[in-house]
Formats: sequence, C-alpha cells, structure tokens
Amino acid sequence: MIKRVDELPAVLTCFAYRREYFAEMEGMLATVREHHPDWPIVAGRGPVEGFDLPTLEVESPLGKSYWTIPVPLELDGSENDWLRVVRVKGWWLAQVWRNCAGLVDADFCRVVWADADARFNGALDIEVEPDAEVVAGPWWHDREGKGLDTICSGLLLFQGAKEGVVGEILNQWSSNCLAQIRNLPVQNKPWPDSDQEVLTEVLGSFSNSAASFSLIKLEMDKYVGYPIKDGKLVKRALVDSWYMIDKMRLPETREAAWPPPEEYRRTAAIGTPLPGWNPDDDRRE
Amino acid sequence: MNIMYIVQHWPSLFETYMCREVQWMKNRGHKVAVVSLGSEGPMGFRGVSGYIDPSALGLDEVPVLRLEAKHLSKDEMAGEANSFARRHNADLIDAHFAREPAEVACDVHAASGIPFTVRMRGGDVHSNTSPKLGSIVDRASAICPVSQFLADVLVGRRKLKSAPNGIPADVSPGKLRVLPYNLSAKYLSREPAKQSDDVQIVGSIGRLVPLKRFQDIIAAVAGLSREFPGLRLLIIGGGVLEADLLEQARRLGVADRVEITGFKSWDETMHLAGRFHIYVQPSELEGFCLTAVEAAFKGVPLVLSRTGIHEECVEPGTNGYLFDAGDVAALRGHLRSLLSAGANRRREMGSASLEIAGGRFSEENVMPRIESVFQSAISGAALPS
Repeated sequence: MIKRVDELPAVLTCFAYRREYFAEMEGMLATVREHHPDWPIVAGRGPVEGFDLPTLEVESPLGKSYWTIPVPLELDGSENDWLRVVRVKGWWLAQVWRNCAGLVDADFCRVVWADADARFNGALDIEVEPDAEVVAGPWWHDREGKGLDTICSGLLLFQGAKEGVVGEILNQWSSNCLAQIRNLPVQNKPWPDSDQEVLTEVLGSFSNSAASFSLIKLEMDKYVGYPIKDGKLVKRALVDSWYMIDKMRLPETREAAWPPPEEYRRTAAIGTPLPGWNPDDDRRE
Repeated sequence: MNIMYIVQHWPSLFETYMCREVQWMKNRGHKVAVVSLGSEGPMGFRGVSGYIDPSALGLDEVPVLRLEAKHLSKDEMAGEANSFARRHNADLIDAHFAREPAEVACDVHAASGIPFTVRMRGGDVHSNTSPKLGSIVDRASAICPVSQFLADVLVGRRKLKSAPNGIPADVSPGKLRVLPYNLSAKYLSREPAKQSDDVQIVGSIGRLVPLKRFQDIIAAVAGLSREFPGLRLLIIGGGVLEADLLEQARRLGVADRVEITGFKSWDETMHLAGRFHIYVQPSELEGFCLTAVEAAFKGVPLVLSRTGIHEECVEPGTNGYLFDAGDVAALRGHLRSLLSAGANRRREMGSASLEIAGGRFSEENVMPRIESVFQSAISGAALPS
C-alpha cells in the first residue's frame, strides 16, 4: 500500500562542513523538526580541530561521535574546495545508511537528506511503497536532449533493505565520490558538476543491472524551489532552496551577504523585496 | 582512568560483551572513548543484519571516533586515533583484538607513549595472526587472551596441528593474563534446568560452519536414537552447512528428531536455549566459545570438546564431560552416560554447571579483574595474579 513519507519513520540527515554552513544547517533542521517532529536527526559539523584528516562531529540519538572522512580534502581557498566538499555527501549518506538507519528499523532503512540551505514549508509528501527499494530526488530534465538530465541532490530519499540494492547504490556513490575528491574530474557540464552528477551516473549504471529499484523523479519547483525572482520573494515551495552555492563556490563571493536573514526566509510575505537587494549583484536571474 | 578502546566495529551486534564492558567501566566512574576502525567482523556473520541501540545501554554519551579501515592506511588510522586519544586525555588504550586494533594501538603507543593492553580472541592466535604480533606482544603492557587454551597456544605450551605465523610468540609471563568473556549474573539461572525421563533435548549453538563439527552431534544422536526414544537434537544457528546437516539427519533416519533454527538474535537464542537438557559443543577449534558459558548459565550438563574455554567450563564427572574434537564414539559414550544417569543426576550436574560457570565467568567476578589489569598497565605495577 502506497504511503506518504511523512507517515513513515525516517532518518533526516545533513552535514555542514565549514563554519559558514553551521547556522544554515540549524535553520534547515528547525524547519524539519517543525514538520517532522518524530524523525531522528543525524547531523555532522566539521572540521573538528586537532585531527589530521577531515573529521566531523556527529550528533544523533545514538550519541556524539566523530566521523573521519577517509580522504584528505586539501582545502586551499579555491573553487576546488566546494567541488570536494560537496562530494563528501555520497560518503556521508553511505555512513548514515550503515551506522544510523537502524534508528527507525533494524533491517530496513529510510534516510532523507536535505541540504543545509533547504527550508521545509510543510511535511514531505513523497509517495512510496513502504517496503520497496526506492531512490527519490528532484529531477532536472534536459529539454534540449543533450543527455544532461540529472537528479538534484538538494533533497534525496533513500529507502530499502540495509543490504539491498539501494545500499549498494550508496556504497558505489560513496566510492566514486571519494575517488573524485582525490582526483577531481575535468568539468564538462554547463554548471559546476558535483555529487549529484556522480549519483546520476551511479543510478544509470544500476538501472541497467538486474538489481531492481524505483527511481522517483520529483518536481524541482516543488522540492528544491528557488523563491526569489527580480529581487522579490515570489513563491514558496514545499521545500525552498536558498543556494548557498552562490556564496560558497567561488572565492570572490564568500563574503557576500547571502542568503537573506532567516526571518525573511521564513516569514516574509510574497512580493517582499530582498533586504539590501542590488540588481547589479544578482547572478542567479 | 581515561580508557580508549580500539575495536573493529562499534557497536557490534555480535560482540555485545564489549558494550557491557564499556558500560561497566563507565558506571565505575572511568571516562571511556571508543575508536571504531570500521573493519569487518567475523566472516560467518557477514550479511547478517542486526542493530544495537547504544542509548538503550546508556552508552550514547560515550564519544566514538569512526574510521574506515578499507580507505585508510595504518599510519592514517594511527594518526587519527592518536588525535582522539589526546582529545580524551587517554591514560590507557585497550585493543580488541590482536589484529588491526592492536596494530593501531601499538602505533599510537609508539607515537604517544600511552600504554596499551591487548585482548586476544581465537583467530588472533590460532589462525590469522597479525604480521606485527611480535611488536605487539613486546610493547603491550598486558596481553590478555580470552581463555587459558589460547594463552597456552600463544606461548607454545599447547601445539596446534598447524600453527600460524608468529606462534608460538615470545611473551613475558609477567604480562600474560587471561581475561575471559563474561555474562552478567542476572543471566545465571536460579535453578538448574528441569530434566525429564521422557524427553531429552540435546542442544548446541553456533554458526553452521565446518569448524564447529555439528555433523558429529547428529552422528552421535543417531547412534543413540533406538536406546533413547525421547532423545531430540536442537541446533540454534544458521550457516552454509544447514542443508548438508539436515540431509545427514535424513540419511541417518533422525530427521524427525533434529531441528535447526537458522540465525537467531541473542535474546531469541537465550529463550530457545531454555529448552536444552544437555549442551554439546563439538568444535574443532575455539578461542573461547561463549555459547558454552551461556548454556552453563542455564544450568545444564555439558559435553564439550577440548578447545577454547571448554576445559575451564567442565569438571569431568561433576558437571559434564570433555572429549577430543572429532571423536564421535567418545561423544556418544558421554551422551549415553548422561542419558542413562536419569533426570535427577542430570539436574545435579546442571546445578554444578551453575556454580562453576557462575563463579568463573560472571561479569561481577571478571570485570574487576579487567579493571585491575588496566590500573596496573597505567601505573607500571606488576599485573595482578
């Protein structure tokens, strides 16, 4: 029987690597707690000082722990920092699946990832067969047919048996992301390619295998909606996405006053101008 | 004390004694931290799911460093473990067991001077020794096999058919102490198992792999089936040999008397073990064999092969018998003795099992010994005898 995911137990997870993301993630988690008060949360913050390798402090109902990312990130202030940190996501989700998914069921896992800059305006309504192997995420359709279709990893749902095909997908995604952190690939997309392109490729390879899973392609506007147009708040999605990438990807934008204050994001009426908006600074529109 | 445990995987469903030890040390007021190397556990348990909630054991406040052995070099693991040891002001590192955890502990000791102790289980000594075993036993403050059998194999007092590399090892007698696995006395039955002259269930627990020699029990039971019409065999466990063992029972005409349960959780296993009247463990080789102790805690007579902890579990004639692994005739003979002895005598022997195992393997008796070894390792004093 199909159910909405908000009627099912799930682990919500995210990590914030670099201090700029800490408050951002807190804001996201507050909206998750509001709409999914029963979901256990696994949240990481890093880097923790004093370790040679990049290490995150992890809080969950299981207690406090430290997870060491098994590759050096070698952050040097360049754009590569962002390209490496986002790829930690694949490894992180495989770890959560392995170590924490039992928080809701010993053998069957359901894990939801939300980016730190996501804000939930309601409970997730993704519909799933509760015991099926499922990957769900917003899907970008390449209307020009260049083969660039991709899952968008700002919000993801993974569901399946602990040792099932979705677990294998996560392990493969993790391995590929770690390999790319060590050796960043040449950028060959119209946008900076990241963990989501790695996941798209892995999903493609598993779609061609005998192992069976369902890929649910969610509407982007609803699940990673961008609320701003022409310097104004124009809409609210079920999950808003506030594009920290605009601040954190390039070295020259890291001091930018972005995203807007939390209060604006949560309470501003439709049509409210962005505080301090300058059309000349707007890169997204 | 500030103790930092280094383990293969935390928390592990199949090594719950670790959780209990950490809990016990914490309750004694010691500060405890855990480094989980994320390496594989015992082969036979791969693919078997399970989950432990540390908060249910009061362990959610224990800081844990999670590493992934398959992606990290030994140097990287030692570096991270050393940073974690500094963060927690560790006085002592306790490595479970003498493979990767002890190798990392040895490297952290070399870099930091923090003393370390090593727990040794079966595979570490009798089959899959660390290539660094020599350095480990040389530098550790205490080497602690889980049974006297393993201690004897380690130092060459007891010979195996085929000894792995590094065995026997040159271990100073002053640093060798046996620290057995243990069970809380709350699991010790108040009374011996009820016995019957009508039905007698011979039980055994374990992974269905060749080393456990479950085929010997089936053969022994088949040889007694005509003499003892109430005789049954209950094997709690699963594994690669399940179909072969059932086929053997069918071939020997005792299929209706043999039940194999498949893998069960610990709670389910303990519940099912409550049906046993006699416990048999015919293993070729064990490092410890906790199931024999668990059965003894149920208050049944024991028939055990001479390996692992078995010789410490049984006082022959008092609470059971010992035999050489593979000697089906001896096993059958011991079972015949127990079955012929009658329910009252078996009950007396079950009572003796409670006394012997409760005294030697209860958490309440073993944990203080572990604590004393740790304290001596930190202070540099001679280890307690």
